[in-house]
Amino acid sequence: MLIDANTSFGLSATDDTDYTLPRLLAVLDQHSVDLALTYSRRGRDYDFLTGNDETIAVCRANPRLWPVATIDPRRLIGCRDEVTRCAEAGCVAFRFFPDVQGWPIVFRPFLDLCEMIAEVGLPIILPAGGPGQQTLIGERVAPYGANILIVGAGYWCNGETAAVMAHCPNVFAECHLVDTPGTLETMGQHASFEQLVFGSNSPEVAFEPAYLMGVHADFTPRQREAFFAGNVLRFLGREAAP
Amino acid sequence: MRKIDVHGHLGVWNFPIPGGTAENLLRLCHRHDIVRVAISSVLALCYDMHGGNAEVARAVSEHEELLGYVYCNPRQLRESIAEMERYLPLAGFVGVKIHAGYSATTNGDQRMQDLMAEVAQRARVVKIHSDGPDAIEWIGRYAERYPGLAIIMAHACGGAYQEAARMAARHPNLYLEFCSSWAGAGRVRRALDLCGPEQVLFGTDMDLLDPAFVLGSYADAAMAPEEEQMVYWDNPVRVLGLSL
Repeated sequence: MLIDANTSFGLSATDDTDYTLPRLLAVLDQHSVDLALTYSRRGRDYDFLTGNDETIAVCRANPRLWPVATIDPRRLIGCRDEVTRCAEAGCVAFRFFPDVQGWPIVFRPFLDLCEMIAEVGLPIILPAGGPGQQTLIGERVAPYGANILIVGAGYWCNGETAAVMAHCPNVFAECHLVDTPGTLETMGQHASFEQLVFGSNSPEVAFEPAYLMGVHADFTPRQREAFFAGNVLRFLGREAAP
Repeated sequence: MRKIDVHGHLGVWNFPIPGGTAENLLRLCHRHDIVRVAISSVLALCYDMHGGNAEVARAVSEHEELLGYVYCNPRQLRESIAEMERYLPLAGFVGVKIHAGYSATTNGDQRMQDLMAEVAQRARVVKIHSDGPDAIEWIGRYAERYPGLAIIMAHACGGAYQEAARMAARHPNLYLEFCSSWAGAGRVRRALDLCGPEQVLFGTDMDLLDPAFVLGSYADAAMAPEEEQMVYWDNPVRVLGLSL
C-alpha cells in the first residue's frame, strides 16, 4: 500500500505550477497511490471556511483522498467552530501554515486551537520552519497530546527533526525534503523508524524524488512498508486503511 | 542506464549525513549506475582551497570513478592560477569549480571577471554556482567572451532555471544541471524544451544530496530514450572530454 501524506490541489497566484485537482489525480494514478491526504490551497491562501468546504467536497467525490482541514488562527472569529465542523465532517487532520501566513508557533490563538484539536482526538500537521521552530513545536505543541506531523524538513534541519522526534514520540516527520544519503536511516535510528512518513508534496513538486528516496533507503522490508503506509495510519490514529 | 555525474563533492557537511568519504561516493555511484562523478572539495569551498584540492587530487588518483574539479576562489586569484596549473594537467582532472556564494563574490564582481579570464586560458570546463544581481546575464557575457570554454550552470541557477535555459539556447557553450532540494514539477522538462537536450547534463550534488532524490527530478521529465542517452552519457562525455 502507498499513502501520500502531503498533497494539495487548487490554484496559485504566485507561480505557474499546475495545482489543479485533475493534475493531482493524474499524479496519484501515475504512481499507483492508494490514499492521499490533501487540502485545498484556497484554504491556505485565501479563506479557510470555503477552502475546507472544497476539500471536504472533493474528498467525498474521490474516496482515495482524505480531507485535511486548515485554519488561519489570525482570524480568530469562527476558528473554534471550524474545528468542530471539520471534525464532524470527517476531516482526518488539521494543517497550519504559519510560514505562508506569517505568524509564529508561540501564538496564543494557534495554541488554543491545538489544545482543542487534541481534545477532539485529531492530529496536527505543521511546517518545519527555520532553526528552532521544530524544537518549539516539541516543547509547546506536542504536550497537548495530539499527534504532530512535521512537514518539509530538509537537510539543513533534519538533525533538529530527529532530536525532537526522539524527545516526543507523538511527533512524526514527513520526508519529501529529506534528500541526503543516509539521513532517513539516521533519523530512524536516532528516534524511531515508526515516526518517518512518506509524503510527496505533489503536485507542487515532482513525485519521484521523495518516492525514490524511500525505495532506495536502507530499510528493512517492514520499515519500508511502514514508511510508505503504516506510519501515516498510526499518525492518524487508525489501525488500517478502509 | 549508465550515467556520468558532473556535480559531486568530497568532504563533510554539518548535517546528519553519514559519509563525506570517497568510499561513500563510490557506494552511491555503484548503487545508481554512475560510472564517473566529477567532484570538488567541500574543504576548499568552505575554508582551505589548497588543502581541499589536494584531497580531491588524492581521491582522483586512487579511484577511476572520481574525476576532479580544481576549486578556484576569485578572492585568491594568484593562488587559484597556481592551483589550476598544478592540477589541471593531471590525469582525472576535468575542469574548474567556482562557487560565488561560498566565496562571497558575485558573478559580475571584477574579481570573478578576472578569474574567469584566467580559467578560460587554462581549462575546457568551468562549473559555477552563481550568485548576485544579473547572475545569468553575466554567465551569458562569459559564454560570449570565452566561446571555447564550456560553462556548467550548477543547479540550473535554482529558481531562475528558465532564464538560464533561455540563455543556454543563445550560447552553445552553456550547460545546465539540475541537482537541487527543490524538485519543482516539470522543471527539467521545461528546460529541455527551452534549450534542447544537448545542453542539459546530469548532476547529483552527492554526497550532500542523494542521487536517488535527484534521479527523481530527472525522471519527472519523462525523457525519451535518446534524450536520456544525451543527458546521462553523451553530453557529459563530450563536455568533460572523456574517453570511455
